[in-house]
Formats: sequence, structure tokens, C-alpha cells
Amino acid sequence: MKWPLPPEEISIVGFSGAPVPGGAGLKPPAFRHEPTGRLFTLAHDPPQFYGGPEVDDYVQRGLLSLIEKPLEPIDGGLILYADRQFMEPPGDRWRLETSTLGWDEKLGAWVIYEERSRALGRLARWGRALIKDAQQRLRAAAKLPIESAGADVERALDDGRRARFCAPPPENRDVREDAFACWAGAWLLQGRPIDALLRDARRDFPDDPTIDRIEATARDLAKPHAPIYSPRKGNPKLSWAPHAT
Amino acid sequence: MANVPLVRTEGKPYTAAATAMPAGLVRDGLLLRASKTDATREVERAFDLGDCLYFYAGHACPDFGDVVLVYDPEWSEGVSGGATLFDTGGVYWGKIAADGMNSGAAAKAYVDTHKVALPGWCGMLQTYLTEYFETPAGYVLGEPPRVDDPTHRLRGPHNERRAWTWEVRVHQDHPVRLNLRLLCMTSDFADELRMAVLSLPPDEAATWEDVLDHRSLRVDAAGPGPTVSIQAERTIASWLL
Repeated sequence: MKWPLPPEEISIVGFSGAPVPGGAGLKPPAFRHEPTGRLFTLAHDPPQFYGGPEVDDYVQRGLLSLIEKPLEPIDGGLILYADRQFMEPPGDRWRLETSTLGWDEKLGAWVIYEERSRALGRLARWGRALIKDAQQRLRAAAKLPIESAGADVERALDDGRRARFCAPPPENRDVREDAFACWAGAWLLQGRPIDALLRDARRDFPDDPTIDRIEATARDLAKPHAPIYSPRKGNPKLSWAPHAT
Repeated sequence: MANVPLVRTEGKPYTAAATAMPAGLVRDGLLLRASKTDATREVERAFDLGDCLYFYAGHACPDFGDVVLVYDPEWSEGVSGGATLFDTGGVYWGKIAADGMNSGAAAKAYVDTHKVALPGWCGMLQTYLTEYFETPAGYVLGEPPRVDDPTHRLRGPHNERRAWTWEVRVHQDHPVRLNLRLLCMTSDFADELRMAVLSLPPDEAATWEDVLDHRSLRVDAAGPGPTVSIQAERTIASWLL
């Protein structure tokens, strides 16, 4: 059976905001400075002010993200943004709640400006929702004949990949660990070796116990399809053998 | 003195122009001359620059995104292209001022006068840094020149960093990993790149894994620390001390 390849372009979630104007080209929010009507961004100290036409030019060029709603600058606040693919992927994929976010047409992204800790908490909630869905899908898939499990596994894989973006290292470590486990579980159900994935996880979790836990969780999620040995620990005589149905 | 490396900043996705996104970097393995805007093509035509792939010497410009690729520079001395002592786009679009640059023709003449051939450019940059800057590390960190040049470009009151940062142009696409010394990126970009690498066959993945494990810096996108470009420049500056 041929499994579909993952989409080439991964939908992303990220941050931007003073003092971190990072996040894939999205620049810090500009705040309206009353009563003059000028705008300023917190990326500069002292704040850099802009006039109207200048702001339009910068927004068009994607150098500034202009928050339309009246906002008060938050100390250490940042923009949490997520593109449409991330929040509302097409087809039968788990969709995340967008009602508390603002849609930025020019950026093509959902955005919210808030304290860093709140943004991380929001991400963690998204990540846990995705992981919960992935775990349910994998457990359901593991009970099916392997030929019939494709849609569930594909959805779990998508969940796991998106959940990973909800845990930018070193934040939300537990979410990231579970995301890796779901992803590895999906790979096991696809009959793919997970060595490379575990090596990749080691870039975030250099400790053996966490990697062992990720692997064990993945194999548990993929039972009875998953082989019970660990290639990482070495057992070259055994090989992957899909569950006979 | 160590040579100042070549720096290419990529990753800004919200523009019409092609840019190096993680899947494309891994799939194509090339930095592309096509990754530029129509405005840049206009500058190339006006100044007879040819079809160029652009680098700055030592400057990670955040306007182009937040993935910074840093290259050992010596290879560029043996390829077709050129360098200038400033950003040519900045001159064309009137963002850089200097004496006598009061028309399009004068701007072109100014650019022509300040063109540097690629063979030997690394040494010429070192001479320039010795003459005009406190230290090479200071240049990389964006400190203004300590003395002016005869055309008053370097200390022009409205001129910014691109007025004194060397632009290096090559007339070829460049393999992403060839001579790559540092890849500095946000955790988001790193995740996308790592996922793309996981989709490669093992032998192809191995070279990217070497980059990820030994030649990359990941900056916490959600953190309060320095931005990718600042982190990259600080790292480069540490090599030049």
C-alpha cells in the first residue's frame, strides 16, 4: 500500500513582537499613538514613530504588522500568529478554534497580541487538543486492518506535526514530547522505521529517558501493528512485520 | 585577520517573490538568483549588474526574513560577479546619499566608480575596515564608520547601515550547503527544515543532519532574547575578534 506523502509546505504557527521581531518575516505590531495618530513599534528603543503614508508603505511591504484594533502595549507582549492551514486545514483534519483571534488579510494569518505566557498557554492548549485527537485516531487505526487505517493515520500525522509547532523549544516541553510520540506512532503504522525521527527528537531531548518514553508511547499507540523490539537498542534479526489480518 | 563571511538572509514568505522556504531549501538545495523582487531586477538593469545572487559581507539584514545563512567567503573570489561598498538598491531608490549623486546618471556613475572585482575582494574589504572602522567586529555589529569617505557617504546624517555595508553579487545560483558555516534560524523555521529533512532518503538526509547538528543555531521564536539576525551577527563578530 502506498501512503500519501506529507504536504511539502508545513503550515506554521509562530511569534512576533517586541523585543523579538522574528517569526518568518512578520514584524512587530505597530500601535496607534494618540492623539497624534502616528504609529510606533516597540522593536525600537526609543520607539520609532511613523506617519500615515509611511505606515501604508511598510504594511504593503510586509515590514510592519498593523493591528487595527485599539491596543495597549503590553510589556513583553508579542503577536502569536498562525496561518490558515494551521488553524483550519482542509478536508477531514482537526480544526482549531479561531473565534478569539483576529484575521489579518494582508498577512494571510490569524493573529493575537498578548502576554508571552498567555500565548504559550494558548499554544499548549492547541497542542494538547491536537495530541488528543491524534492519540484517538492512532488507537482506532491500530485496531483496523492496516489497509483500512490510512485516513486515521494520516490525520494523526498531521495532528502530530502541527502539535510540534505548539511547542517551540524550550517551551511546552510535554506537548513536544507527546507530538513526537504521535508522529512516531503514525510512522510505525505506516511501516516506516522511526530511527530518524528519534534522532531528530534527540535535538530537543538529549536525555535517554525522554527518547525511550517517546518510543514506548509510540509503540503503545501503534499496537498491535508496532513491532515490540527497538531497532535503536539493536536487534538486527528482527524486522518490521505488519499485523496479519 | 579572518575574512568577513558572506551572509544571505532569507525566509520572508509574505511577498510575491520566491524565497527560500525550508522545503524548497531541502528539495532544491540551491540559493536562487530568481529569489528577488521586480524592484531588484530594475536596479540590476539600471546599474548593469547582471542577474545576481546577493549577499552582504557580514550583515544579516532582518528585512529579508529570519533565516540567516553564513558562508566562508573565499569561494566567491573565483566566480563571476562583483561587489560594491554599499547596497546598490539603496543608492537606486534614494535611501543612500553621497556627494554628487543627484541624478540617475550620477548614481550609476557613482556605482561604477565603487565597483570591486570579486578576485581579491576579501582582502580589499579588510583594507576598507582598517581604514574606516574601529574593528571588523564593530562593522559586523552595525557600528557606524569612525571616519568619513571623500563623498560623505559613510557619515551621511541620513544614511544607515546599508550605506557602508559591502554588497557581494555572484552570477550563479549557489548550493545551500556549500561552504556553509552557520545556519541561524527561528525554532519555527528549524522545525519546518527538520521535517523536510526527515522526508529525505537517508544518504541525502545525512548532510543536512550534519548542518543541523554542527552548523546551526536555533533561536527561540517565543523568547525574549536576541533576534535571529542579531544572534547571527554576534556569532560572526566573535569569529573576528
